[in-house]
Amino acid sequence: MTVALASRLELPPSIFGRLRLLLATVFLIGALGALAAAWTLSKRAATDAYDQLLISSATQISEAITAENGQYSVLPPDSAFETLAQSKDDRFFFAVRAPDGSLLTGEPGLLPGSRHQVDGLPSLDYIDDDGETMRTVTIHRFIASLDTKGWSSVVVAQSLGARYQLVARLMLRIGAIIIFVAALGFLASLEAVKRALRPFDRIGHALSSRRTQDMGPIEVESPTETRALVDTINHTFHRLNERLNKLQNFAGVAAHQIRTPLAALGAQTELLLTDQTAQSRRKRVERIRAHLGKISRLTHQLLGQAMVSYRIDRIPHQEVDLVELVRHVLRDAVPESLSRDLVVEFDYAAPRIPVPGDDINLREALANLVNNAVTHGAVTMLRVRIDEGSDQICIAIADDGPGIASQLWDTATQPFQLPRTEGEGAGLGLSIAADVAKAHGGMLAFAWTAEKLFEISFIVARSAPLEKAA
Amino acid sequence: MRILVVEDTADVGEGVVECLEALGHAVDWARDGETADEWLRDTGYQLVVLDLMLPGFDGLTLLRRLRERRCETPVLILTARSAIDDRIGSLDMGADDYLVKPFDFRELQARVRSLLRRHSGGRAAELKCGKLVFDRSARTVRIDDVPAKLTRRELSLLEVFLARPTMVFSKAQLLDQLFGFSAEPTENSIEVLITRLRRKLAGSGVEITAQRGIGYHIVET
Repeated sequence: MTVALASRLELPPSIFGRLRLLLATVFLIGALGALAAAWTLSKRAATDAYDQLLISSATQISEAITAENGQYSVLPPDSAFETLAQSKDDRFFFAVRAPDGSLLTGEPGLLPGSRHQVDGLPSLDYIDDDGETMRTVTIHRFIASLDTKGWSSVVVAQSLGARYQLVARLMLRIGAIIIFVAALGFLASLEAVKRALRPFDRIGHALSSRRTQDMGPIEVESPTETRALVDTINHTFHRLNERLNKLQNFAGVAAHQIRTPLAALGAQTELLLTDQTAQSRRKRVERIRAHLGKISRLTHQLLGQAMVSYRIDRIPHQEVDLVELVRHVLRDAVPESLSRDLVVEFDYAAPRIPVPGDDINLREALANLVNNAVTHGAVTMLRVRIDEGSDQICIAIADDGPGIASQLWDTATQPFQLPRTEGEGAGLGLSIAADVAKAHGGMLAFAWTAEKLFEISFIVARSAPLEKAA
Repeated sequence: MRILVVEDTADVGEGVVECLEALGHAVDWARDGETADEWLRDTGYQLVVLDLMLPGFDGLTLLRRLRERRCETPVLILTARSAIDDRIGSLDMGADDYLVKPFDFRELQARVRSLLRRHSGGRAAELKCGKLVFDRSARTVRIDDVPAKLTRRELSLLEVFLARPTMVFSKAQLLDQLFGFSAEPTENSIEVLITRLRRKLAGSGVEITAQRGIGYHIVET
């Protein structure tokens, strides 16, 4: 029911519109509340004031009742009626009764409003007189003389016109003040909201009016409240720009890396058609196969790189057990068709080593490292060891192959940086591994061990990194 | 051995079939999921080479149906999709190995050989003999609970013996199980390998003995 109602009530589209609606509602409810309170208070004030007059008049009449020789009489003073007569449009009448109930003077139809006989205490009431509501006051007075005594009663009734007029006069003034103050407050609030929202308009204008190629920071005069927003927008533009530049460079180098073996493939295929002897044809086919292998590896790595960088930016980290992961990697990444025979060793500090991470990226990175070690390095052995530090975990992959010369260590993790002879790796594996290590709060390190093994350490943080790699 | 290849791309399928026939296997080639499913119900295969992207229903569905029937035939997945997502999915669903396209045919042969070897003698996760324990999933060997440093080929050879402890293997059979018919290694290299393995198994209570003129088998001493 409420849901259906909410969906039918459409909110205005802008923040300003919504705040205006909210402010209007608040001020309207406030003003109505204040008016209701003013109404109640005015009514009570008018009632109290006119009741006092009525009581005073009845008291004066009651004090004028006398008893002499067993006879009751009353002679109300003029002053008793003067105050009542001041309300020109109002009717009033009264009745005075002796203790035996006989009417001494006044209207016979007007009966005492109460039987409660306490000397001089007025009791107030409303009666209906020919369809008009009238206020009555009844006062009982004990009259005693030498030969007679008893409770006499005085009832005075007055119509309510003067009271209503007083309430109307009061409400006109108070109401005007309330409405004026509420309207003023509403308009002032609207203006305040408008001013507060103005910086957002400026930022929006600055963003929409720039050219799509413009990646520089937006320059807008902005108060401290919107400074953070502007800074974030500028930071995002900066990162986007960096990313685009990197992508462009990468695309350039990748194009070269793809086209070169494709061109070689084209050339060798052409030559294959003109080769005369079976032996030379076979040689040609071998070379074509080598180029195909290179293109295949490059495709794998380019797609791997794309997946890894996509996942670095978007996939939240979960708990990953490195022991299990490395075991899988060793099973998957060492080719079965490897012509050399190897001892594959795997040592780990604990049966389970959990870290926060993206298991697919970690797998891709480690598979690249293990595959590199096996296909370009390892002569007789490959050793993987997981060491636990206090805040970092190191997966060290060592082999007894030629390794990477120390002067190339600094640039080895850049894409396409390692000089390889034809037919070997594409040069993205280390770059992918380094990106993944960085995204896991760690890095890639190279070393020669005491046993003269070449070792690559893939280091990740034990706990979640504070900021992912930009 | 009888192998089913499920592949819809003709050029790839042809290559896979010929490459497996070269290993001496009988190969059937199904070009879509329905046909493959039908054949798998009727025929006992020792291995399935399965492409994931197929017309009709896809490879993963076929694999799921196969495993739902409690059929334990080893399955080697071929995939060209984003390698890793498929990989995880298919390994969870009961595939035994995978290759990402484009792949090297020598690697395909090696994987097939390895899968057939691993699935001989049942699916037991551990093979035990004397004081020796062979963990098939981790590919490690412990002697008296101490890890032994065996090369991958030594591990494979030991696995062949342990999977069928009563069988005597000729050098040609071992060569076939380890290297394939077309490979360069000779029977001489099998002898070298056996000598090295014997040395590493010293004191394990397990010995590889020769039956003159027939071949080798494993015995508990």
